[in-house]
Amino acid sequence: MKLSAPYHALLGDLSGVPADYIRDVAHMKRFLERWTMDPKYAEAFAADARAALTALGVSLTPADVMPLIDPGLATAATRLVRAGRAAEVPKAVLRYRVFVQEKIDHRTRLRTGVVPADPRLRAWRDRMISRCTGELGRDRAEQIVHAPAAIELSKGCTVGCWFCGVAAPKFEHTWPYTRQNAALWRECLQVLGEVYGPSARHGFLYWATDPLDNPDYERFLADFRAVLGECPQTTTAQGQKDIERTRALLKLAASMDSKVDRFSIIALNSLNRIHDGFTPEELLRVECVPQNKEAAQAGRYLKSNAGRARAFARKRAGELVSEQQSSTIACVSGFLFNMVDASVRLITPCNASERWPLGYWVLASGTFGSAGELRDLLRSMIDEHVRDGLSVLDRVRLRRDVRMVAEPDRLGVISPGLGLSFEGQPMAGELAALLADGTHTVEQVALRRRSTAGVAPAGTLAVLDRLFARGFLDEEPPAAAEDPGLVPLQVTGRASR
Amino acid sequence: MTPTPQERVTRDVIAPEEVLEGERGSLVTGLVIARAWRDPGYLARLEDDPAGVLAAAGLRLPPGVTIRVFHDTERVRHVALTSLTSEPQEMLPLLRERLPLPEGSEVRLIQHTEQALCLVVPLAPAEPEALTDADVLRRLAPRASVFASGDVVQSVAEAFTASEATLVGAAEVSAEGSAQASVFTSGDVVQSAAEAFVQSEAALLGAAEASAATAAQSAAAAAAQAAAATSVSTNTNQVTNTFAVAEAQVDAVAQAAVAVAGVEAEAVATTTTAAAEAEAVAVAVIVLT
Repeated sequence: MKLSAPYHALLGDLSGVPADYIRDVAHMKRFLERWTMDPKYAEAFAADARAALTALGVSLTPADVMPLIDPGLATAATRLVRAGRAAEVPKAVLRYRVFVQEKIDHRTRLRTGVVPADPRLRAWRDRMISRCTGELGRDRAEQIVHAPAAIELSKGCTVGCWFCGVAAPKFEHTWPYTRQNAALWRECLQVLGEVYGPSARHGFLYWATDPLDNPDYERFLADFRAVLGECPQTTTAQGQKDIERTRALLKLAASMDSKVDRFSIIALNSLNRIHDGFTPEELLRVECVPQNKEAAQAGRYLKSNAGRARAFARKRAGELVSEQQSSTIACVSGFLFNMVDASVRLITPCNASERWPLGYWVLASGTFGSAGELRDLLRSMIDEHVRDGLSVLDRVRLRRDVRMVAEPDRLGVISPGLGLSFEGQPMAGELAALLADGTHTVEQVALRRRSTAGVAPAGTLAVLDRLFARGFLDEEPPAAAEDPGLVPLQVTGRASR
Repeated sequence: MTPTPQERVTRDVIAPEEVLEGERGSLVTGLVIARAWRDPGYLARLEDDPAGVLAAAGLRLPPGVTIRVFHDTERVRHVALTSLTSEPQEMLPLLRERLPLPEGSEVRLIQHTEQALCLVVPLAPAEPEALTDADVLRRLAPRASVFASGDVVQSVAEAFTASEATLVGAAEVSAEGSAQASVFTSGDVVQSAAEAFVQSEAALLGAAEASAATAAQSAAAAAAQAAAATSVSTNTNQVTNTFAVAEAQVDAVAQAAVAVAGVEAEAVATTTTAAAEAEAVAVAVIVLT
């Protein structure tokens, strides 16, 4: 997004941004957080908007905030902007919209800017992104940044959210920043950067953990930035627990040019403490995620039906997306580390389901005792499990959520979020049947098509290659609880270099 | 049972004369070419190290045999002749497929030898049409079926045409309901009304952006094609410069071209010098004026 006057970027150096501009956005954000997560406040606002704004301590008028909460006024504001009459829309509204767009653009950059150095890993990540678009739909898929790595610095989590999408286990202990651990930590980060490439800097230091459970989190954070060049995003449900520690962390992160951090608001009381403890300006670049019960009551801000939440699918159905719209909070297509038990898994997001309740596939796992062992482990995971192309001997079948439409000269493949239409496919029904059957190799499909439909192998191979590259072919690994022998073998073999 | 990678590699070592023309060899190279069509980085690797890329795909060249990649462009197409091709009549069927040639285009004849093979990357076929609007796909999905039953209820063409129209409609609906849309279903990101608004703005602009993106992709593809064309042309010229002219073959090729196309052609044919023999192939260039 190109920002032109009178708009300013807010995810970075604020020294050149007018104070009233920052105030407008920060106060608008504060109002929306309160209005979204606190139904009593929303009622008070409906009764007397001006008084409610004053009570919240924000310097905005009802006319300023209404275009962000009233559908009709939102549409009217949009039309005014499109008609070149933006001057008739409150400045605070426009500034806030620009800020939101800046954050969306930042997310998009994270998603598209991660480029693994290894071409196999790069092709695999691209394919997993496309598969997720197919599985989850474009809107949900675009929220997943497919980060290169997540690193847990504790075993378990003290917070214990009932809806935890990755079912964090009960807290056991942390990985302390001892001299020995710190040395291993820095070496491991170097290995990660070496194997993954410069994009490893987009990793982060939590998963089924809360970073603030580790009292040394800030030191690990600083090391990460020193070794890989970027300050990882922090997401915590404990922003309110120790206000001074959180304030210091935010200052540290800002000093290291962190763009966005997040507080999970799991109870209204947490929001109260955070709003009491921090000024709106202090939280400008901190997203407060509405995960409290009240926020979901109006049917908004539903939680992912993944992880521990699946156990509450009936009891708290109103707060979760439906099973049919099942989703995931997993956002890594890469390596998931736990430093306490020195383990690594190669993972990629998927729709949470009975087979994959945590919302991600595990393609490989292992442990390491040193940075050298970690290097070997990561490389062997890539060698053995990361494919960048089809082989003629691979058996091919479509993902289970893919449907086909065939007509004499055209084949369509349709998944929830992505469809492809291939022209010039005589007897397309036969091709569809071969793909649905799932027992044929690439070679067999190509030769069968040549003999029965007169299609040159190059034409069939191009179709299969495109289906593979866009993630339509089934690469799902056996789920942990399954007998691998029961799962059809679809795309197998060592990745090519 | 799918063989292990080691078994696969072992099995795929085949005789020199069958490397590219045999069934397995043509399928492996077909798959490599299919990937090169969509992946410029892979195409570059293929051009730089064809033997390595083919080996990684499961096709190892016999010892002493080299391979060179020729990339077709809109202007230059390549026709590969077997090492045994020696009579003009043998070329007629190959050339006939190319006719009529667009003005200003060239056909270059290249010939395998016992020691050097040619891999031609033809122009890529059209990419499949893609559709990403989840609402439209949701409506389409129940009407699609795994085709084994033969129960086709809607043509693909109709489905995708219908989806285009629906896409615009869905975006407008999304924009109208912007402030109350709360569809960040993962629940891990704040979505205020303003964020929903921005999302819907993006949706509304989606059709136009998609159109622009398509145009941009086309431009990028054209640019890539142009770059590749330059590269291929340069490579071919380098090869040509190393070869001596073989008069007899010039005549043969020229006659073939005239006989088939009925056009005047300037033909320059070259064969490898002794020094270049191990490296590559006989090259003939037919330039239509």
